[in-house]
Amino acid sequence: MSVAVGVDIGSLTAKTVIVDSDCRILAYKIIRGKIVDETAAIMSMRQALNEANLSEPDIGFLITTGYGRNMVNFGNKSITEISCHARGAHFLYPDVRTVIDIGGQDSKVITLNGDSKVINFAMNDKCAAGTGRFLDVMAHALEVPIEEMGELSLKAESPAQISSICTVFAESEVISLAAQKRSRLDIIAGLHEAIGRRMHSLVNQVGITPPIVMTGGVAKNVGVVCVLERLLETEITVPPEPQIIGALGAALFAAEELKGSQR
Amino acid sequence: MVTQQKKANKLASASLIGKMMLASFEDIKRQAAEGKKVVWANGLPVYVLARAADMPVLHAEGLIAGLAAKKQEKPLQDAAEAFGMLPDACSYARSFLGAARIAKGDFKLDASVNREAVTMPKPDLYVNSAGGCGTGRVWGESMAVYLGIPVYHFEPKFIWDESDLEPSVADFVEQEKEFIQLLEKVTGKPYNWNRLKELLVEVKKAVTLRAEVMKLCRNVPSPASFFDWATSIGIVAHLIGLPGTGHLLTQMKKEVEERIAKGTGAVPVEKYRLYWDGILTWSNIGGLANKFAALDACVVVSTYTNLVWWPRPDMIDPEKPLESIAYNCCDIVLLRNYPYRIKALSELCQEFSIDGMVLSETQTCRAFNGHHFMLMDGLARKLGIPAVTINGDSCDPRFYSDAQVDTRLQALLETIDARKKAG
Amino acid sequence: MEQIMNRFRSVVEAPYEKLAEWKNASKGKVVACSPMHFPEELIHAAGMLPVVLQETNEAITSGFSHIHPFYCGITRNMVDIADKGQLNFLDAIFYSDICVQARTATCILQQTLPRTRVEYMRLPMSLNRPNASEDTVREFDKVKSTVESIAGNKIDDSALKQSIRVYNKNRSLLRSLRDLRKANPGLLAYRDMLLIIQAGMLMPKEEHSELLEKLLSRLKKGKAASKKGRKVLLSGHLCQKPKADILDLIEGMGGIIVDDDLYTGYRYCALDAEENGSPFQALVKRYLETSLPVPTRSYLPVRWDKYLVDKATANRAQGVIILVVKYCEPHLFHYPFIKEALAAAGIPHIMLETEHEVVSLEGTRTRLQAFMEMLG
Repeated sequence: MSVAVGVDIGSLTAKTVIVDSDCRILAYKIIRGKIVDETAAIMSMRQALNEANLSEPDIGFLITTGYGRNMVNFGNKSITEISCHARGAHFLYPDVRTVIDIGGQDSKVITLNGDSKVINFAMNDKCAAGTGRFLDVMAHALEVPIEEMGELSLKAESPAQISSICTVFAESEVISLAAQKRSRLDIIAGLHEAIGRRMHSLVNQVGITPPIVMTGGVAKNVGVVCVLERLLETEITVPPEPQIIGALGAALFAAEELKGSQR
Repeated sequence: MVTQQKKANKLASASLIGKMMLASFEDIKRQAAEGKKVVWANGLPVYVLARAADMPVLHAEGLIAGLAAKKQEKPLQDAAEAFGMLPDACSYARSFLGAARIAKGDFKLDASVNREAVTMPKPDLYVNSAGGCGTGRVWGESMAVYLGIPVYHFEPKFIWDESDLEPSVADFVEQEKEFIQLLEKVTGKPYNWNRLKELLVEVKKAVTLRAEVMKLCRNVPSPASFFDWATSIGIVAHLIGLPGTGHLLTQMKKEVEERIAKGTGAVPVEKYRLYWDGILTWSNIGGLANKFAALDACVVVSTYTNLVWWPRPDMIDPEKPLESIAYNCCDIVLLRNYPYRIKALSELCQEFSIDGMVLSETQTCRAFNGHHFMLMDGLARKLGIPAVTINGDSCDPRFYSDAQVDTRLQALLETIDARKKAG
Repeated sequence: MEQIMNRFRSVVEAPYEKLAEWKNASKGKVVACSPMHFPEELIHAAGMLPVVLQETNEAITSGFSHIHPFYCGITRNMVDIADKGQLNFLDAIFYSDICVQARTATCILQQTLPRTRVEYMRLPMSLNRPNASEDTVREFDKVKSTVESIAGNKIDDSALKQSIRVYNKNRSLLRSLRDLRKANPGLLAYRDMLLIIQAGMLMPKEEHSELLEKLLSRLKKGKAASKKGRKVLLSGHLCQKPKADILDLIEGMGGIIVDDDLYTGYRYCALDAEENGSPFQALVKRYLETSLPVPTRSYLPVRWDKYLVDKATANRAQGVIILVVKYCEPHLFHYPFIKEALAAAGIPHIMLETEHEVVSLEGTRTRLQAFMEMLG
């Protein structure tokens, strides 16, 4: 059996998705590793293969994507995560026209057409504000587990005003607000507002075309999703496993290549 | 830690300006509805020429600064960003372009937005008279192209050395004549030169009186602060030539004189007298006013309020309106080379007994902060006046961080104390 | 050919060092000007070496104590290298009033280079004003007098005419180079073509033309393999040259740069001055009647957005890559209109912000690759 594999080598996690030639998802794996970690990428691939009762010779075509896509020594081809997120989101939600991806180190907004082709995109990767990193830094400063940040943000009564342009600035503000005994919930909500505003800016660059799907690790943060839904005045769909959408897209592109070569 | 118990002792009369500004915006809307041709303008107050042609004038900075102070600027900036403007560009300009988009109905406003505040009538003519930068030109051009209207660009030349001033004034007079020809074309009426002279009479009274009142801040404690002059800047900017400004200034003078008589200051306790250089951080003006008050610091004087708007009242002769306006648009500190600026600021610091300087590093307004390093060198070190920089922006609040400002201001005041102790 | 390219590379990689060496050896004078609008021919006619200030690759260090980080790369770089003493050899620097960043840089340079004559040229910006011609004549006249006083001799018409011929010849050779490459993109990497053009700003024009002629005859003989890929038009960078890394990335992922409107590309060699009649008036005319889409001036025959759509269409470009120098306000204000015009014409584009330091190359790679994937 020849399968198509997509490996997304991100800044902190490596994800693999395996699909068959009919684009059925056979397995997927997420491994947390070091920065752009080839070992983690290989591990995620092998573990996914294991789960699907397959081994490396069964790989018909492998496409890498993500930040580390060109830095690993395996794979037949590399495609950017922009195209892959569009493809992956479209596969799950064929009506989607905008994908918002907030990852650990970058964030992007992608508009696509009905054929999953990318029409336009905007990225923020020079600055931690507006990425998962922003929330990581703040969660650390507030001594709150990152997984709890989203839920807590929804409980605030009056979100604090916090800079959305610079993580370092924002961190100073958080410390200052905490010292002034401002409610932790208000601060957390303020941080979510900040990330929301930052993403809103990015969305404005390409324009909003619903329906919107959110991908990437930060999509699991219900607080960010709520803020974005409010600012964009539209519902946002979050897939059950938002982190694997890039790898899924890569796998689907690989399946295409496989089909093409099999003719 | 900054305590917020002490608050700024704002001039009650200066606070009346808010209502006057809003009333003027409503008046523009009314006049537009009556069919008058509307002018949108940015920069120096040469647009008073349009007022003489009975055209309602909306001054960009007047509208935007006011919105930013009330934290209502976001929809305008969102509208500009949606059009492709990047946040690095001048935030006044972006905001005004956003206002143009909203005026044209090209940008959908959220339900939560105060529509009245951000929606102004579309203009028929745009005039750019940004004095201190070339950005005004691309700003004005963008506005005109977007709105499909004519634009006039005033270009006061940069005074590289003193010999450049008179030719610059002479050329500016020619530009005013060209602009007046354009006004006649747009209005379809001959220009009302008498009205212009009448306006200049009022302008002269207003700016002379204002300069007098500002000088009273040499008093210790200062009866008014930079925040009072900044919030009331509309008197010499957006509202110039409109009725009511003279009356407001008379009230301000009275209030200031009463305070001097009673020994009342603009801040509850005046331990430090400061100079603010650079554009104001409009988005945080209220908070900043109280922040300084809480630190027992009075920002007594600033380049923006003291040296930019109608700096040559001595050259205003209503019988020579074009020359009067030309001197006041050409001989401003922003159009001067750095040694001149440093000298002008030094004199102001000495005149007002300044202890320290706050340098506002507005991220998107480069016209006002290019000389800051030289200022720290030439002024701070020579006059022994310590300076501190604070980061922010004129009307984009994303660039401002309160915690950073707190730390730096406190450091400035500690430095002033240390220097005083050392003698 | 490699020898010629090496000469150009050595000039561009350490320009101010090389120029200081040239000055030492020749005992000549070197006068620098900022990019855009400055009539270099006046400096040449006075017997001095004109140089157009261009970025070096070094990181900004001591410059940070004179200029803010939110100024464009070339102004920060100039202030920085001036502070490090690299511009001390210059006999004069002329800057021109193109934007607030340039104005600030000029004022700072005047203070940080007390022994160098720093002058500021202020030409009319509204080219349709009744006195635009008179104003230009007056300003160019002022510049001419200043140049003469620096050189210690007068500029006569025949010298100026000769300089115009020298410059026109050089521009014509550069245009031939661009045309040659356009017809056969595989002949020369874009980074090399821009390097050749930039080298001419930093060395004696006569030598540059001589080397160019040799290079052109070699290139004409050469036959490069035809390139397959996606045709793209390159736009932006009004003063400084884009970094080679970005140009390599574009070409490396199958982008065929069919044309550009960069300063160190199209703009520098687009406009000749007339060789008949008064040479001084020829320079004035070239300024006033510019056909270039110059965002720092108003009332031009064509705006930049329309120009780009027409250029992309004429070149059958599949997409446009717009390089915006961070904090370049003239570009920032035109970009939304360019974006709108390209969208209306159905021409995809990508906008990349560039900085003095090469940062986030991986991010740029991803964006460019995604753009190429978009083009299909």
